[in-house]
Amino acid sequence: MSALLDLLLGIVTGIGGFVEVGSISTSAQAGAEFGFQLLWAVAVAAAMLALLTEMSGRLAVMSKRTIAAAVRERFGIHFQAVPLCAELVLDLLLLTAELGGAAIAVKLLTGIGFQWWVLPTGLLLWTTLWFSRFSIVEYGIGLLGLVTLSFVLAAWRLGPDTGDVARGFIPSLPSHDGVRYAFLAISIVGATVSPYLLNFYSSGTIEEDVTPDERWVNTATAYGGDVFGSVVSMGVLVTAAMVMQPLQIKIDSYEQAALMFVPAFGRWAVGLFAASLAIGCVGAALEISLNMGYMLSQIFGWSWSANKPRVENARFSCAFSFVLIAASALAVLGFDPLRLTMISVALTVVVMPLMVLPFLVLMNDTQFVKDQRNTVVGNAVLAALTVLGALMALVVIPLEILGG
Amino acid sequence: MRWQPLHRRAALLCLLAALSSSACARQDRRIEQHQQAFQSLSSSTRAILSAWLAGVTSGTYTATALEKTLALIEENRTALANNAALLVDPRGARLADAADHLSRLVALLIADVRAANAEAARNHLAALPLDRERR
Amino acid sequence: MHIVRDLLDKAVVDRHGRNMGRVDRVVIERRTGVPPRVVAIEIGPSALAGRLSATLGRWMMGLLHGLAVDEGQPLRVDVNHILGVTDTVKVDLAFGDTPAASVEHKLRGLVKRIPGAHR
Repeated sequence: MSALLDLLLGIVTGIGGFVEVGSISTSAQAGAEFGFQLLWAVAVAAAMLALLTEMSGRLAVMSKRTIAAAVRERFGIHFQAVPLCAELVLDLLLLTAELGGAAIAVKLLTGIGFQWWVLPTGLLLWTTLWFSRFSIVEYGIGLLGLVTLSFVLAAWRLGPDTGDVARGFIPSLPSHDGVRYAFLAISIVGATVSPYLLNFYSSGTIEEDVTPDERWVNTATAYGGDVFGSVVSMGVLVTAAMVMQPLQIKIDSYEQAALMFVPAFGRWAVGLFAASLAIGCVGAALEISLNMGYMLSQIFGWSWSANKPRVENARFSCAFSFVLIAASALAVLGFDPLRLTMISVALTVVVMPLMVLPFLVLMNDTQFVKDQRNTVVGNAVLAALTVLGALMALVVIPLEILGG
Repeated sequence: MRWQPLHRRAALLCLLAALSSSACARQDRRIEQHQQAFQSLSSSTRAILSAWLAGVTSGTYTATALEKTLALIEENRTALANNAALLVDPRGARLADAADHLSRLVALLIADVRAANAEAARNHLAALPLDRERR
Repeated sequence: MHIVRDLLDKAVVDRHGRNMGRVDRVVIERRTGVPPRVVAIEIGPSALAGRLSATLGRWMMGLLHGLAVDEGQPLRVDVNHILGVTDTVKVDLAFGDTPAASVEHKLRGLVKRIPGAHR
């Protein structure tokens, strides 16, 4: 019964952290500019994330090490230094964008500039992390994140043609602006398959002391949670396609994006959009911050746990606090959160090969995964993902310059 | 066989033609991008105002959204104004004038919304340039 | 034992199972006529930085000195104190009594003043 409850909560909380500033931005822009044509990219990204999430969880269950720890032990610091530095920069940018997104959500309701809301938001996040155990952060994010189902409800209320939606899952060539189409497709992958999600998931698996007997919960949670989360991203895309594309509105700001809720929700539109954006961003920001503490602690061998008093793991506590302070300071400077988001997702794609490649080794090393090695199919898919990741990494920056 | 001077001249002319046509295509593309950006912002303005006039959104959100739209219009106007080649092109010059007009109208609409003056807002909305719906 | 595979970068725990850090460097003694042998492991940011580059190692020592936590850094643990090597390297020391805990203690002094730190 307890395992079943864990599973249900795990699937439901798959929303938290999945639907955030990156997925909202990229899916909304994709829908506004190309209708349903990029639904296949959301599905592919979700499948990639589910596969990698399951592997992260399996690694943690079998080896009692997270990705970060396992990479250090298996590949050494000379290899790890590169993805570590890349992820530090990336997570800082993304956290800044999430803080900005949450602050803009408050701006939509109050009319007061978003920079004024950054520090209160940062303080709220830090207080939550300081005083809460892991389960409260994880499940709290997930349950609050259910408000983002508004996007799914909006899409349903707008009554899209099911045939047209279904055709969106089949990759097709765009009728215009191929460069922009390719950039958005890759950005959707970058927004979904974020490095922090994988290490956070494996850290959570260890925090919750998941045993090898419960690894089916890990598998079901990884796939179920990511599918559930991707449905919301698809809701964003479909809603934008139904509302913004006919008006030929390209989404260049969150203030514009709020319009997509008007036909479905009337007077509730701006409030619901702001709540969805705020909660999605806050959830992701909590995960990114906490993951920074996890990652640095695991790589350098410090004690870590969100379930222990902060004073017992002072370096871990200071690490997640410091990254929040740094991101808040950057966000206050007023960088446009939407632009920062698009830069972050492009950089995520650039580092993706470094993220995926270690899995090919770790998931076949019996020292780590014991008898739970990847199947031949799993390895083939992972190898294909590594190649795909490398190809995307090569083209994403030129595409961003030409089509972003 | 050595190239005759005539062949060399022909090759040079072809190269020049190719380069010019590539430059023209780039210019057309830039103008089209600016056109699409301003049309999108004009449509956004109409959508934001229409929701307010219908009583669906608050004055606070409407003014906030219009201010952001104005900031984006100014950004695009600056990008257009900084490109002399585009301004020399008659299409670019017409677009710059329309963008200027759009910018002033959005500023007036912000004032109308803050003053809760729906009548004035409707009149200004009717004069929105670059708006697909009006065409 | 395969030094790189089985020792280097492995997590180090003290006799009570408390995390001490990672094997950031391995000290090998070489003498003429005898095979080289591991004599100690080193734990600490200056050892790790020094492994990446000598300049980085010096900068890190400078930083630790500036923060007044450089005494005893990096912690050198004689092989005779290694109790066993499995998934972790267990050593016959207490984390809190070693220089490996300098930064942790310093930060603890800051953290304990913040309300909620002991919850």
